[in-house]
Amino acid sequence: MHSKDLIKNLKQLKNLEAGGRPQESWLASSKEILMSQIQPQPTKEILADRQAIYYWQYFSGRFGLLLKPALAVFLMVAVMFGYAATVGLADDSLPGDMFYSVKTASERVQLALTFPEDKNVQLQMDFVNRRVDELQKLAAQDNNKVAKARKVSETAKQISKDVKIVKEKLNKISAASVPKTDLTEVAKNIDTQTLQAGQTLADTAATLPTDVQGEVADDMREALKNIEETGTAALAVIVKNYESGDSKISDNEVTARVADRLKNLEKIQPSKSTTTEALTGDQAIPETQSQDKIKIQGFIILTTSTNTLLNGYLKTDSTSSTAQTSETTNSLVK
Amino acid sequence: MKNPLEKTILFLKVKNKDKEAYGRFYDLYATRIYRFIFFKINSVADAQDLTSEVFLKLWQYLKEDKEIKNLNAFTYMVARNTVIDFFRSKARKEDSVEEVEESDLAKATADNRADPLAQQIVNSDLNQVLKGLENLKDEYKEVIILKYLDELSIGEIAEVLNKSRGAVRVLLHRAAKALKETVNA
Repeated sequence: MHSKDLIKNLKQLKNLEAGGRPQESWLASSKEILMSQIQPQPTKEILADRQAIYYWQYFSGRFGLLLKPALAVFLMVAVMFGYAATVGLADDSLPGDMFYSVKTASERVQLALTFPEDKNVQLQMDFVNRRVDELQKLAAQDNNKVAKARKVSETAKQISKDVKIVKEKLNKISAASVPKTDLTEVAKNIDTQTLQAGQTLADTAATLPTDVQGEVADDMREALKNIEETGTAALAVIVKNYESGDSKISDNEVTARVADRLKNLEKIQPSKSTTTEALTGDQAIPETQSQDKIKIQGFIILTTSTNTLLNGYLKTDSTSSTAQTSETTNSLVK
Repeated sequence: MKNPLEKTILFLKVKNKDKEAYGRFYDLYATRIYRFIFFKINSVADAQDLTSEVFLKLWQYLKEDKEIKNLNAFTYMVARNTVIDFFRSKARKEDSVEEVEESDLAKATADNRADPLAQQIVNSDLNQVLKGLENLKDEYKEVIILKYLDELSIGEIAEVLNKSRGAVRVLLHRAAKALKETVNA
């Protein structure tokens, strides 16, 4: 081989891998590595900042479309569970607790959404019972007297307010076209429940420390009065329906209910009632106008609206019974 | 890059640490440097590693603002030194390195046989030249690659090998003669 051919062949060697030609893939990857190596190295802070962006880009890029509905569902479920959990927690809360406002808000929502009217008034009465229950728990709590007095007073005021609403609603629906049977049932419940609520409230008042009793006396008395008035109104509805021939009410039942109500009126009479004594402490209580009003109103209901009832009662019973009833009634108005 | 002016501008940019220009410089020199190293160590994997190392080292030199008269020659010089360092570190395993060298080169030749173009030249003069080159001593092999494959000037070769131009001419003449004898043997 001549020198010329030799040189020609040597130059051709370039194109052979055996002649030292590198693989194209390696050339490319090696360049990529080299270029990244010669870039200025970012500082740790920048790297940390970028890290978050990289993760975000990775997730939004790769799972963005998948994640969006999933995230929405997750948030919805979280909100629903969160609401349920909060209301659940709030159920046991007492006035002054963090979640108490949630509880009352949830009650307002329930009231706004409850139909028909007889169900609504029953629900309102249930909430009155709740307040009474709360008051009982507050009274049993071992906290400072000032806070206790304040909370008990507030709850008592709330009871007054709510129970008045019960009365108003009851009067409203008794004038409207609610079927008698349903109305009678509701009135019966309210009659019974107001008796129980009044009793519980009176008993609770008696357990309060003397100085707290003095603080809360006015509000408690007002609450008891309102409960009684609502109860009387419920009884009036029962009697009215009885008079108009509602078969759901037996003679005996009406008599028993009237008797219970009378007994209760007697009980809250200040001179005889231990409850009222407890409420007013050592102070001598004058026979207030409102107390008179309750008594008189109770009497009026019993003497006017239940005329037929009493007449029927008198007819079937002996005259001595009549005298007895008259005595009871008379004793009330004394 | 046939335009000498273009090449000069690129080299200036590289000397000024222009990363984009260094990328193009890599495109231009990676193959040559790889070949230069491959003929010295006869191992694909090592040649790849060392080639990458050369370009990284060169960038470090540029960044350190070291005076570089001829970038072309300087690049080969860095490659040469890198190979020397490689052999030093492997000095204790000299025998096994030789075994690897032989097997890798044999493999590369065998790989070429699968390539139709390579197949044609298996028994050709080209193959004879390649084999002749393999059997040359390192000093001759190096100068022939620099001169005929990489087309460096005598001055540049002198710079790479740290020899005088005259010494390079003499070396090149002896290397060519030795190769011719081997091929024609």
